[in-house]
Amino acid sequence: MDRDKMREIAKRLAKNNLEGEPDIKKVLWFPHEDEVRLVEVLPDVIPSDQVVAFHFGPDHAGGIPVPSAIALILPDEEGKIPVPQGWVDWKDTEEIDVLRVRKAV
Amino acid sequence: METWRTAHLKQARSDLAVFDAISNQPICQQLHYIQMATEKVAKAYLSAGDERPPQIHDVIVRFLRACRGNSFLQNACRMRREQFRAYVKSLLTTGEQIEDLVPAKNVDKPNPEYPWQENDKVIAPVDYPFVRLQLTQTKMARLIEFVRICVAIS
Repeated sequence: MDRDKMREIAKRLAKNNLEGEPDIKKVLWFPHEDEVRLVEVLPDVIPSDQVVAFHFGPDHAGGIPVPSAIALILPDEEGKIPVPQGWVDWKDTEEIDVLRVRKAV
Repeated sequence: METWRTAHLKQARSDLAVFDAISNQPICQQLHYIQMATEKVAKAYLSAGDERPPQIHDVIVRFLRACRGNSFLQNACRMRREQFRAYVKSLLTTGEQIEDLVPAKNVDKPNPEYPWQENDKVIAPVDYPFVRLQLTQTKMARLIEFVRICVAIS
């Protein structure tokens, strides 16, 4: 799937998650052609020495027609801890505008 | 052929089967199997299928928080969106307590597997009541129910 479509799906997934996690401060999209990969920054998760991502299958009812991966990190872990193998580097991520997405919720 | 994900789920299913079969045994043994099943379900979701999940233990609460917005799981629980979010939120404290049962994490704290020391007294898990994790409590029933659903739909 092309990058623009994946970005839209990433925003939809971020929107779904923001509804369930009001404490999310920031959402980073790690572009990939087949899987939507989000890292959500929260103030109250367990510290980790790596990005721990959970993988979910397509969620058609939720508007997510492709597999997805979600990881939760602390603010001071952003850009510092290693990402899973095959993920783009921190510098190649795109931030999803949480405020805009939240308003649309 | 099994993938890392299906193998973890298969083992979680087996852990649950043992849990069901030992209802007349001390609570530490039952909690041990619930802890193992819950952790394996969370670890199953750490793998997209083929790759080996990272070797970490603190996965249960992370998994619960990560799946709150997932409508596939929501539908499997036959709940509305808000209901599912509230439901998963209600599992977090119990999930954290189950996560804390891992003995490697808390060497001298209550755990269902190995004896620990408390004020110069050595305690065997089989003698400990685990009052915060009684299986008859609604919160425990909810968590076990959710683990069963995760295993069943996968």
